[in-house]
Amino acid sequence: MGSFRALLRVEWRSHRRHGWRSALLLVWLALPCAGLVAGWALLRTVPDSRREYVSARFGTADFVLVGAPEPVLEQLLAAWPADLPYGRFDVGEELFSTAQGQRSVATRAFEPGALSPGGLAQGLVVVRRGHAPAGPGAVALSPSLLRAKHARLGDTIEWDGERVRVSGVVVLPEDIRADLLVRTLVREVPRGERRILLGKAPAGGRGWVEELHRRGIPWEDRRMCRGPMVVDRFETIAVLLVACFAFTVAALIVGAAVAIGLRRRQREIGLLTAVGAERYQVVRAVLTSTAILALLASAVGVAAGALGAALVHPFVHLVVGRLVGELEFAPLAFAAAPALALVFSLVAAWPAILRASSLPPKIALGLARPVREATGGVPWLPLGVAAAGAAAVFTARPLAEGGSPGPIVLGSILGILGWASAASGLLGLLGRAASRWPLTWRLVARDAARAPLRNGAAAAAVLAGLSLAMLLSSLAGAVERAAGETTQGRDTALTLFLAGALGLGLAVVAVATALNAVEAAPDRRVLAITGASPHSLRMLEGARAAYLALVGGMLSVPAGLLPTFGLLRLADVPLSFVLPGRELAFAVVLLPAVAFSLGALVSYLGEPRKARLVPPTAAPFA
Amino acid sequence: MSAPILQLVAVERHFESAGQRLRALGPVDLELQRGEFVAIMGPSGAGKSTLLGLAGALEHPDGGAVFLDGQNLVALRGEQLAALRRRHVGYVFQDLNLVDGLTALENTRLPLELDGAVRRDADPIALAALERVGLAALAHRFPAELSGGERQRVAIARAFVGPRELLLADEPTGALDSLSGETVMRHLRAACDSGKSALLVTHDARHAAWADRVLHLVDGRFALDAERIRGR
Repeated sequence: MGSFRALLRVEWRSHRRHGWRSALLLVWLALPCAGLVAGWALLRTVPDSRREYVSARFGTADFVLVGAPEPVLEQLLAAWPADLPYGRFDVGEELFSTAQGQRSVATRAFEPGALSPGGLAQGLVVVRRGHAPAGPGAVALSPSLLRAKHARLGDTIEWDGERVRVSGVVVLPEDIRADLLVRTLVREVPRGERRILLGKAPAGGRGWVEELHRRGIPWEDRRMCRGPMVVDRFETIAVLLVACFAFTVAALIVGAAVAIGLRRRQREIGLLTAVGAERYQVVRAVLTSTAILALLASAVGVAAGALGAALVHPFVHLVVGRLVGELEFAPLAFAAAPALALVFSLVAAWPAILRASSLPPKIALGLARPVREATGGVPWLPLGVAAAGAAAVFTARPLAEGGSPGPIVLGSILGILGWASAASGLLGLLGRAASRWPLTWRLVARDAARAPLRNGAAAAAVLAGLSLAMLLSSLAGAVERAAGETTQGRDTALTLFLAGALGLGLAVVAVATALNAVEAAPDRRVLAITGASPHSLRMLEGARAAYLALVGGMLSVPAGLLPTFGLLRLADVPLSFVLPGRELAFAVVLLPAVAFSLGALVSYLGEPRKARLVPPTAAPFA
Repeated sequence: MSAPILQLVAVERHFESAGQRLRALGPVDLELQRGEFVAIMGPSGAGKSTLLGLAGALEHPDGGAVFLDGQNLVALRGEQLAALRRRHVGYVFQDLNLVDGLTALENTRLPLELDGAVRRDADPIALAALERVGLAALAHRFPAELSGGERQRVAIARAFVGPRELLLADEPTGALDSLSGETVMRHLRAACDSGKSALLVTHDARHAAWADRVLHLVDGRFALDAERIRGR
């Protein structure tokens, strides 16, 4: 136990020494936790709950009778038990002339006191300010109608040829933006459809139901009202899936940061093992400190999420356009956030920890990285899979000609999978084929080929985002060309998607590049000492980032265009292929160029200052 | 007598530690003639590596001046210093001397390539340098495929490739067995005998014995100038 505490102390001192890196880890883990708690709470609050839905239709009553002729209703109410409350209200619609034209205004007429606390109509309309009209000389208006009439609470306005006083501001709970006018009900003069609220079902309620049936009166029963179609399980699954995605992105960054930190502490870990610490003790100490950091981050995230949700909640109705209920936190979120933060951070940190702790002390103390040479030849299997996919797409009969969708769908999937899984093999191949390339690109290609799985995964992530953007753009272009028109908003949606794909690509490339740069830090020092100018070193780091972006971008071209051809063949009308020029340019030019610039900039910012003229053995990204 | 290849005049270097300014070196004076091989010995922390860093334009002094081939390094900045390093100075350290992603030949021709030479011109020069250290046969091997002694010999070949005439070596034999260490020293001596100059930092008196002059550095100052002229 003493040794564990000692190792844990070493870990914590390392976190304190590199406070910014630890703070970055904490923030990256806290963000999805906050998003999960706040997002889930708002998601529960925003949709129409059954209670809100029923309240907007029944008020506090058990039944509402709708659309029956007035004499029939009066007959019914005459026989209604005297001890049970009931109330009338009218639902109508009137036209209102403005400078822009006529507007439709929803009208409601209630008996005095029906909207007060305890009244049967309470909830059908919500009084925001003032009070409901108590007599024929008053009305209550919605905010939109008040604005249209240029009136304020207490003003007298003209409505329908009468002068009436504005006694209150009211809204329909399910549509707060709607134009609404509330007036007092005049029993003899229905304004629109007369409806009856029945407070409670009388004893022997079954007999009344039969009576309503017999008289042909349409009615609704509060207990039978199911509310809107909200599927709780779907909501839970959707929230957790989005959370898992957010945690995966966070885990990528956390894993990279842990790997970079451990790489820089290689000598320290070597020393620990040299003085007798066993591998499992080192692993346990690093995992424990990561777990503590994750739990700390989740506590910060949960608190920030709860606070954020509470701050945002009062403004949600402005976005959704209807009154929302009280803020309701999902108890599962409070348990899921720390659990997901813990699991994802440990899984992300695990490979780096295993790798760092498995280095023999001699190598670790020497600060040299365990050198891995570029391996592998042509990735025949993945390329074969891609080729098989392409063959399936191009040889299958189009659906319009009676073909089957199976081969086309399968071929498209195989094509994408083939190109994505070929990425790591191609990086290895390029590393071996780089001997005649210029020095910068040779170094970059060989360094990338040393960790083909990690860098291949980064290139595949770039491929995935960009190929999907190409697919969507090409498909939308083909449909538009066939329809002969441009869909409004298509460009915005596709641009947003492309920007998202580029952002994701850049983030993944940055993480992989940071790791590559840290591993190549001793090389960078040798280059500087040998006479590489600061400018050359900046170009090297820029090229490191651009290389992965370029490989991913180039691979995204066949991976994106193949399913596009496939989907065009699946259409039941002939569609011509549209080259997604903008997406292609982004994939093979803009993304690598941006990655290059960012890499060079980070290198510049990390250059040694003052008297030291040559970089230490750390990379600029670390 | 021609101008010295390296001249340090009243050079000083300080470091900040826990808010205190500590003197790491100097003020010291040193001259290294062309074709001369000088060894610097001294206890750990005496300032040997700092001296080497200042001599090789890896860091600037806090006081004094460093002249390399007549140029005052203190007056130079970034790109100029890099050009000076790739044209005039070679370094050999105890380890981490080679770029792992480059073969022995590519490592050797690195200064030439960084200086803009095309491969067709640079390869024969780099191969000749490798030939001189007896490694031409291993030219296409990566550092991971070479032994520790072979890696140091590649570093020596790179240090003297092309027109470079000054080698700065910081414990180049520290991580080698005695036989490999002797081989490295023999190659250093041979290079100096052919007109190049070398400044060697070492703890090992047997290796210092290969030098023309041995200087002792203690607490940042030269304590004893034990000059010894080898019979050449």
